[in-house]
This record gives sequence, structure tokens and C-alpha cells, in this order.
Amino acid sequence: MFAVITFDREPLRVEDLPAGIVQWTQSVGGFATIGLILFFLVALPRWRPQDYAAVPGWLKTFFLSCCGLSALFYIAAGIGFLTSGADEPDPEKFVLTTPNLLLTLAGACSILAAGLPFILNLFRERFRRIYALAKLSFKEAIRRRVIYAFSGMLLVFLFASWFIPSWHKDQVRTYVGVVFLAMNALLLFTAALLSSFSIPSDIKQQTIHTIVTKPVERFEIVLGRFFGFLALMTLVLVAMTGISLLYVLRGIHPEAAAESLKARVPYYGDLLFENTDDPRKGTNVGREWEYRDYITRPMPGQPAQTARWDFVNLPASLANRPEVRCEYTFDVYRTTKGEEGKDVYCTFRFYSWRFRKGDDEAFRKEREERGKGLIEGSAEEIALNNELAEKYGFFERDSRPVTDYRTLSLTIPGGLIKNALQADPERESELKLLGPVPAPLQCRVTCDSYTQYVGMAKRDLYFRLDEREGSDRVRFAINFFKGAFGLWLQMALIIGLAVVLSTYLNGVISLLITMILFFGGLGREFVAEVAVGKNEGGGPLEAMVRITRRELSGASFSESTSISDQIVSGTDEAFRWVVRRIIDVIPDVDRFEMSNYVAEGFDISWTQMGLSGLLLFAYLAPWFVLAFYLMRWREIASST
Amino acid sequence: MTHEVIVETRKLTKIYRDFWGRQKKTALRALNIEIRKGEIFGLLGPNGSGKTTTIKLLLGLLFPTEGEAFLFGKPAADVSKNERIGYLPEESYLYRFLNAEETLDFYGRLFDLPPRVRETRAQELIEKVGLKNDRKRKLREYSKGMRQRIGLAQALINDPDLVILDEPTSGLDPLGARWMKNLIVELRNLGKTVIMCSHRLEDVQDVCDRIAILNEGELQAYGEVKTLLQDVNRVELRASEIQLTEQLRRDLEEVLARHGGRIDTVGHPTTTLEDYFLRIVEESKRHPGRRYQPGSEKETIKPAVQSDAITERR
Ligand SMILES: Nc1ncnc2c1ncn2[C@@H]1O[C@H](COP(=O)(O)OP(=O)(O)OP(=O)(O)O)[C@@H](O)[C@H]1O
Ligand SMILES: [Mg+2]
Repeated sequence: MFAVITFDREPLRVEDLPAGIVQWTQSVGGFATIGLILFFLVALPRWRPQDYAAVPGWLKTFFLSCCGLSALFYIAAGIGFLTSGADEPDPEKFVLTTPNLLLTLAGACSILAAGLPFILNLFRERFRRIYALAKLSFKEAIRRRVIYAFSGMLLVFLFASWFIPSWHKDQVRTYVGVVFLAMNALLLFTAALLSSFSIPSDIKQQTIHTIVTKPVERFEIVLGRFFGFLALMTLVLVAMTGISLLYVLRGIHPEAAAESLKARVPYYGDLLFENTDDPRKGTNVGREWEYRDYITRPMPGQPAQTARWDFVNLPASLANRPEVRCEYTFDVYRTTKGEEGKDVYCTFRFYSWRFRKGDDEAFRKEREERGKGLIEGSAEEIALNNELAEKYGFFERDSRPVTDYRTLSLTIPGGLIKNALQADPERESELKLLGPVPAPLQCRVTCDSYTQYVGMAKRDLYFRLDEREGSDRVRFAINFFKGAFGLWLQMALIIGLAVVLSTYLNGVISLLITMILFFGGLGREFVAEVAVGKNEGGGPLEAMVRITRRELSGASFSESTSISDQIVSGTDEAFRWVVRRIIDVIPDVDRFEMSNYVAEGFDISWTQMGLSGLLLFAYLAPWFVLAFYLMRWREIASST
Repeated sequence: MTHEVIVETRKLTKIYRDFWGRQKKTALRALNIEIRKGEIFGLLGPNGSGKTTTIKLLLGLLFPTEGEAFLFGKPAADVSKNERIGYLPEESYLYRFLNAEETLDFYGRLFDLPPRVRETRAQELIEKVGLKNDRKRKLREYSKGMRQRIGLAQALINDPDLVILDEPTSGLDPLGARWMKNLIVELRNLGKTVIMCSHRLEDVQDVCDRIAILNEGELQAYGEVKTLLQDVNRVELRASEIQLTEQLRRDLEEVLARHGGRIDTVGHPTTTLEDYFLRIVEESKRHPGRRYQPGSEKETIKPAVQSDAITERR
């Protein structure tokens, strides 16, 4: 089975959190600033002396000093950008330049100023009222029989199996895909529909009058609606996931189940290449999709092209296993036709960081002597491998077959990991003299067949952290629900957006904008690329200046010493910053899409779920603050 | 009666604007009134005179264009004032997919009332507004009058100190209207303050202590009903056990002339249609199945029985 998960983007990592927080602060701070400016220009002039007097003194002081600080920081950051020129920070490494730091501080001040009234209001919120409002939304949806829409799911169950062959190597993927797609469409659309029309219809039918004349904070209405619909849709989601899971488990052919009903827990390394032109790249074979890099067996006499995976944070649990399973899925690119059905071969060598030159020879020799007569895979052989790997910090598997896009596996002895995890100060100081200490465990893959290319990407080779072999329905089932969590996040996103928008807009418009934002989110990467992609002529202003100067290209303005060029490129940098902030309005829906893990049989880690949840919260929080203000300033009984 | 001021408006003005901020309609112009603790205050005026607008301004449903309103000393936009207020909207805007019990439970929760209090109050109020047999029915099945009743129950769930009623008798039959008026008086007797607005003059006259009359958003009259309506230049007299003869008329004229007055009208008193209607319904309740016979009323129908509450007031 083709069990490899491909990523156009790295999944969320805990290490990215600081950069994420900085970016969030800048974006949200930017919008908070716009809000504050609008407040000063539009709302404040209409205030009457008594309105102004109603605000407590300390709040006024705090608010105004935050605004003042924010303005100062923005000005400083602006000057910083104009003078320091535009150097796009490396997305791989997180470095905070001074202007960036100033921007972040400015954003933080604006957030404080705009967020404080909201935070203060939160203390006045009561659980019982929010609960009552949530329960009302729940009941309303049920009594209006919205839930019947989900009988549509039955159609999928009834007819999907007509199109899915009963035994096929892709069966699990197809089943999971179809079921998740159907759930996605039904749930998200219903959620959007329910939540974008609820508050507008409350206002239109004036039922909201009897609510806001009770001691209800208006924001409680927003929260009540949100949690009510979320609770309802969560129940529906759980039920539907349960039924879908049964359907998948029942529908899958036993053979397909045995092969792919899994939830692997992979442990990935970092991929580098040796003896190619660029350590970050292999040979380009001209495939359109640049996801994989290729290595081949060079002509004799030349150093072997090698793909090297560095495993840095080795989990100690692996050391106690007699055998650790390593799975790989490579792409084969043939330049000569090769024999029909004949595989391409690769050699896998594993090195501990303590490995010394010559250890491999010693390993081979001793293995040869003591391994005679041992049956491959027998307990004795495994024990021997363990002993030797631990002793020498080396292990190898020769000439393993590689078939196009098939997940194959090999095992390495746990002893090797033991060796790698051992403290060895002597060797460490020795290595330090030579340069950076290598990763604790490295896997080097070389291609054994001439003229054939083998393509690989970071996630094409991994160790299995989970121990058990073969089909494991329980773990698959848990993973299926974890996949549904991704759907839950998307649902929460849609409900939140629709409820927030509907505090100000009417139902149809709210629905429309929610949909636009959501689908925009599916294509967010594309939008971002179009908007802020680096192109040859620099940013828009630089391009314009170039046109007027009639020069096609030249030294980048940011590297120029002329002050005017600096200002032009600084302005462009500011423009790009603004566009990036605007793009941040679009939710990163891609991050909430987890069903592909289930389909490919990979476990969804709790960390990833947590981080996605956090991302959703970070995205929705500013929207809810917006809703707070919209509700507060809305004249409920006025027709406009 | 104490003179503690519960509601105060200062130059309260509302101009409705359209989406572009253009002025559309001045619904209320510089209203200054004070409403005191323990009184029934009536807002009176023809359709479109700004009664509902005033009430919505008091409740913070609308924001004033000019001026301000205070309830219990707090500005109208303050949410916490709502703890002590009960509001019955012009039409009872309730959730139609709930039944009476659920409705009261829901609004009780919005006041953060503990479950046991909610439960007992809901049952009491359902009984009080006479919906005991219909308490499990969804509001969408209710008639206009029943909805008005549950609306009133909803307004009383927090045992408010100030009850604001927008057209409380609209949609009610005379019997229901009378019941509502009794209830309003009863609330006043419990020490609560009531603000009601209406264009049915007899309602206002029956129950209100003080009134404000609005027209085109402007305050036209303001004060105690008694003083506003008292016609000090006229005297009314009713006598019983006597026939109206020419002689009597002449004698009366003579007596009045001696005091410098004259007769405007002399005749038999007619009862109001309301009283008459109430008597008939009363009668049919007492003798079910009997049809009204003209002329037979003398023996069977006693003089209009007015409710104790109202007689007390007079
Ligand atoms: N939302 C609104 N937008 C624009 N004009 C409004 C709005 N609500 C009320 N008005 C106008 O304000 C004026 C006063 O309306 P209001 O509802 O206060 O009258 P009312 O005294 O309660 O009348 P009624 O006895 O018919 O209930 C009317 O002319 C009405 O057209
Ligand atoms: Mg009205």
C-alpha cells in the first residue's frame, strides 16, 4: 500500500510557537490599531461629556497610555524599516529584527488597549446565562428539525459502496476519503446555515428584545449561540463519526484491513544529501512535482550519492526493543527500462554518533564469523544483531528492494539505539574538535542500481514508534475519531465566524462571507503567494520606479546605498507586511484537515491536535472581540 | 406615598436615522419626566406618538440622540439595572418553539435564579396568569391573549421592582383587559412601580395615578390623572329610588339657580358597554346554557360587579 503522507507544508510544531505568537501579535495588533484609529476618528467625536465621564479614570489612563505607546512604537518601527532596508527574515529560522520587535510591541499595546474592555466584560459573564442561551439554540435547531438534513448521510452509506471496489489496495483510503468528504460537506454547510441566520432572525423577530432587557451581557448572546450550535453539531459529529467508522470497518475487505487499517506513529528524521551538488537537494530528474529529490548510483570511482536522515531526539523507548521497524516508501525513476518486475535496490546503513571509522569493517567481520548457520529472523540472529550493533554503533541492510510508491519495511536492532543513547564524553570531545557532533543516529541510503533514480523526501523514511504489527482496529478507530477532531475544528471555525459576522450583517451576507473566508482558507497558500510572492523587480513601488527609470533589472534596491532607493524598498517591505496581515484574515483551514492521516494510516499526534486547537483559538479570539464591540454598539431595536 | 424617583428622563430625544445617517423621523423630542416609586404611570398618545420609543430608550434597546435616561439612578445602557425590571413588549416576542414552562425557566435562568426559585416562581406565575392547563403547549399554538398572558408572566419572573408594560391590554378581550388591569393595580399595591403605555383611554383612566400625554413625540400634558381630569366648574349628582319627572326637573333648576348654576343634562344613567359586557359574561357563567333574553335582565342581573381592587381605588 502507498502509505506515506505527503506534506506541502511542515505540520505544526511546538518550536514554531514563538514565531507564531509574534506573527499573531503583529497581525491582530494591526487590526486593533485600525479599530482604535476608527474609534478616535468616528466614535469618540460623537461622545457626550456624560459618556466620557462614565468611564473610570484608571481605565482612561490605561487606554490612552497604551494607544500612545503603540503609536510611538509604530513610528519607531517605520523609521527602522525605512533605514534598515528590506531583508525578508528567513522563514526557517526565527530571528526578530529590531523593527520587527518594535512592530510586535506596538501591536501588543494596541491589543491591550482594544482588548481591555472586552476582558473586563468577561468577568461579568455568568455561566448560567450562557448555558441557558446555548440550550435555547440547541433546542431551536432540534425543534426546527434541522437535524433531519443528516439523513442525507444515509445516501452516502447506501450508494458509496457501488463505486468502491470490494478489494483494492486503495480501499481504506477511498472509504475514509468518501466518508469524510460527505461528513465535511453536510456538517459544515449545516453549521454555517444554522449559525449565520440565528442572531439576525432573533433581531428581525424581535425575540432578542426580551433577552437584552434581562441582565444579559450582550456578548453572552454571541457565546450562547456559539456554544449551543457547537454542542449540537458536536453531538451530530460524534454520532456520524461512529456510524461512519462502523461502515468503514464493515465495508473493508479483510485483506485490505490487514494491510492498511493502521495508525502508525512515525518518528521522522531530517533529510540531507551527500555527494550531490547541494546538500539540501538531490539530483533533479525533471519531474514536475518537486516534492522528492533523487539519487542514483554513480559510475564506478565516483563517491556514492547518499540520502542521509539525521535522527536527533531519539526516543529512549526504542532502545529496549529487540527490533525497531523502519518503513520507507520511495519513488523510482527509470532511465533505462530495466527488467520487467525487477526491483531497484537500495542499501541502508545506520550509524550511531559514536561510530568510528573502521567499526563497520569490524562489525561485518564479527557478524560473518558468529552468524554462520543462523536462520534469518530467528531469536538467536536478532540477539546477535543486537549485541553487535550495540558494540559497534553500526548496522546495515544490503540490497533492499524498492518498488514504486509501496511502503516496505526493514528492522534494525534496538541495540543500535542503545549505543546511540549512551553518554560518551570522551568521544564527544574528540568529535567536537573535528566540527559539529553528528546526530545521534543517522541512516544513509544509497542506490544500488546504475541508471535508475530513487526519489525520496523527508517523510519517506521513518521508524515506527508503535510496536504492534499488522491490522489494529482499535488504534485505527481512535485515529478515525482524531481525524474527526479536525472536522470539529473546521466546524467550530465556521460556527464562530458565522455567529460573529451575523451580529452585524444579515443572515445571507454572513453566510456568504463565512463561505468566502472558508474557501479562501482552503486556497490560502495560493492567495498568499500571489499577493506577497517575491518577484524579480521587487515590490510594487520598486517596480514602478524601475519602469519610470526604464531599467529592466539591476541591483536590488534594498542593497542600494542611495537613500531614495532604500526608502522605495522599505515602503515595499511595509506594503508586503500590510498584505500579509490582510491575508491573516483568511483562516488557515489546511491546518484543520486531518482526514488524510486517517486515510493513509498515520496516527495523528496529540501535540498536533493541541496546536491546531490553539491555532483555531488564536484565529477566532479577535473575531469574538469584534463581535463584542459590534453587539455593544448595535442599536438592537433600530431597523437599520 | 414616598417620592423616591425611580425613572428620570432629561431632555430625552430620539431621531431615527437611516443607514446613511440621514434623519428620518423625530420620534421623541426633549422629554422630561419623573416616575416615582409605587405609582402606576401611564404614557398616553395616538399611534406613532413615541410611546414605544420612550420605553425602548428607557430599556437601552435604543440609544438616545440627545439627553439621557436614568432608572434606579443608573444610565439606561447599564445592564445591571435590568435585574429589577420586568418588561412586556408591545407584542409578546417570545420563542414560539418553547412551551410556557420552558419559557419561564429560560427567562429565569437569564436572571441567574437558582433552580428551585425558578421552578416555584414559574408554577406560581403560570397559575396567576391562568395558563395552568396550557403550560405544556408550545407558544406557537397560543392565541394572542394567551401569548399576552405568558408575556406578562415572563416579565414578572424576577419579581421586579419596576414593571414596564407596552400596551398590556392590546389583544385581550374585555374580560382579559379587566383581569390585566386588576393585576396591574395589584402589583402597585405590592409596592411596585408600573409604567404602562396605551392609547385606550379607559384603561389609563381606570388604573393610572399619573400620566404623560405625547403627541408627535412631544409632551402635551403631564400630571395626576385626578387633577388633569377634574372639571371644577361642574357638579355631577346621582340619585336612586326616584322617577325623573318634570316637577323634579323644575325643582332642581330652581335650587341650582339659587347657587348661580344651571342644568346641562338630566337623564337616566347608562352603563358603559364594558360593564354591560362583563355583566353578561358573568351571568352566562352562573347559568351555563341559558341564552340572553331581552327584558329578563332586571331580575337576574345585578348591578355591575366591579372588581374589589378598582372599587377600592375610587
Ligand atoms: N425603527 C424605526 N425606524 C424609523 N422610524 C421609527 C422606528 N420605530 C418607530 N419609528 C417612528 O417613530 C415614531 C414613533 O413610534 P412609536 O413606535 O414610538 O409610536 P407609539 O406611540 O408606540 O405608537 P403605537 O401606539 O402605534 O404603538 C413613529 O412615527 C414611527 O414611524
Ligand atoms: Mg407602540
